[in-house]
Amino acid sequence: MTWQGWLQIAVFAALITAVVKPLGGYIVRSVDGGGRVQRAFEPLERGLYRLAGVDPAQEQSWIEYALALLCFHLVGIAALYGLLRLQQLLPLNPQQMDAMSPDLALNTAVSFATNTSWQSYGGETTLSYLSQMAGITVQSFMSGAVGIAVALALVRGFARRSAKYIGNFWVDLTRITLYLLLPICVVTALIMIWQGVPQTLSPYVSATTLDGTKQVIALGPVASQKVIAVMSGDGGGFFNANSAHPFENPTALTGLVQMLLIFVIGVALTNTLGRMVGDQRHGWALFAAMAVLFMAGLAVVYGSEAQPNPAFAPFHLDQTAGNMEGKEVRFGVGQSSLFATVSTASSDGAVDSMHDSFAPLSGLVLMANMMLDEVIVGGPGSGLFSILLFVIVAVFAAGLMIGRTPEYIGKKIEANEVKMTMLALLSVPAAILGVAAVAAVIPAGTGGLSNAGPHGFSELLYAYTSGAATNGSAFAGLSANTPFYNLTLAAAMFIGRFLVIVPVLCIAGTLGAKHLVPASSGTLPTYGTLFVGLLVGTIVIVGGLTFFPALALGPAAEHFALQSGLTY
Amino acid sequence: VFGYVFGKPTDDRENAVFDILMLVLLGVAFGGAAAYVWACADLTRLPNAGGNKAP
Repeated sequence: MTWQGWLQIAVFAALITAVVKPLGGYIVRSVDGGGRVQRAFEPLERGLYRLAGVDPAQEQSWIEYALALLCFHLVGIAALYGLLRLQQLLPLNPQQMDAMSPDLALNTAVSFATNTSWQSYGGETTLSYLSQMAGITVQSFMSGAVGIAVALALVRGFARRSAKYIGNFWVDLTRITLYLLLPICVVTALIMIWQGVPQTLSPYVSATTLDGTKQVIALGPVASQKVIAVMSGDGGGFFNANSAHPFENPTALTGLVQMLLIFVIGVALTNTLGRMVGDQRHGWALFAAMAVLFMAGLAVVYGSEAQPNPAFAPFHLDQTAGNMEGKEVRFGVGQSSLFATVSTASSDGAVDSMHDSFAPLSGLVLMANMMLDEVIVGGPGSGLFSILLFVIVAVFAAGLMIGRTPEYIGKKIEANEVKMTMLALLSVPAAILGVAAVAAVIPAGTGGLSNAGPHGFSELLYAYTSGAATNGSAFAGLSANTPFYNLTLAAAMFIGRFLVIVPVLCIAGTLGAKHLVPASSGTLPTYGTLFVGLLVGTIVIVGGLTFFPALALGPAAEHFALQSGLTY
Repeated sequence: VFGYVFGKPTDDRENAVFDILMLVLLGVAFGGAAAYVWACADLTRLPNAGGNKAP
């Protein structure tokens, strides 16, 4: 480990902490109206409602909200599927890309609509510019906005008293897109273009190299897609190499901007929660819990990657820079470890190094980050509602300890909320472990593996974890573009997104209908060290117990095998 | 479906049967999700049997 590596981490942490409060306040104003930006764009917003036949004053019950969300995604996935199947007939296809196969098109459509961005294809060799812009980029905006909308609906459930309604899905979607995502994307896309990220509709360029061979250099509208991809928690790459590609992440500044964009909305929403429920200390407590889990994981990853690879010891290689296999020399171990931890702690999934080449312990942390159900910042919105599910479990456990009905920020947590919380929290492990277990024993699953033993199992486990946790990053080493993997991963992504969102909205509805209970001497304070410790302990115990056996079979077993000189 | 409409089925994986299958799968998935909404609504309408009455 180097001081430069720790300095990068310190600068990143300071910038993220600095942005929590101002952006948290801006999000409240964006959604509730009243800010300067909102007033400037109000005519546009009203026009969109008129065009869509939406009455912005008409709020929805949780059931109406959930059905509107599902209808929106059904149409979105079907439209993206059609676009990917017809792209060879549509304009903005200078490289004459052919249609995607049906199973890959379904996988891709589900992947981007669920905010996962699992990619069983290489962007520059598969997609037309129209598919990239009108398909992938649009879904990045929409899926990010939907996650934030669901989180805000849940927060309204906590904040409102005896309310039948939790907001209007169409209004939330419109305001989040117009006032939050679009302005940040416009500014940061310009920064990316300034730093050298392409933004063009010109065809790819053919060049002749010094040894006389022809090389095709892929271009395209990269900057506009990249910024929303990282900020929305989507993380899909315009190019196959994602943020390791020099056109997608050309400088140290673009790397830092991308990592900030990945985290910025997720952390700011903790402050938004605090403001909406009238206790910003509680928002800071959630931020602290996320920070503790993030820093613990980062320390393990950076520590492991800074060590030389024991498998290379017989070859007397210079490994003073650490485990450089699969890493860009211009990024090094420190930045690659930070980027990988940020990407998996959020639900983003962008990569600037090969996770398959990380040390087994690092791979274990990257998987555990995703298995913890997006609670360490997570995706925009999905991180907040996921950690609130664990908060409900934590206060429920605390209530049981003292024989008192649990309360959380003024609302009693009763059987209905706990049932829905369990449904939401068990959906993701069921999708990961259930489908991975099937894939591990049938030829269609094992046929896609590039490695044997624990490493091969890690490749498979990582893929389903990444899919169900809506992360989308790939461990690599898995040949996933087969009908079996395309369809089972699509199922995992669908379960991991919608079977979590529906119970979350149900909790919003049941909580919103309740009275506020005044705090008393028996109320568990939802700020301070005790609460943060209780929450972190709950997350680690629930997440750890659920996934420990699978992690023991994969990366943990590989770690001990590597120490004794055995590789796979 | 797309292959037949636009007259461009190019190989075995890109024919109408597969398109129909994919769209049916999508419909089944969202139908299941909609049913899940109603199931959650039903679950939360049940009385809180044995609820904690401690102060």
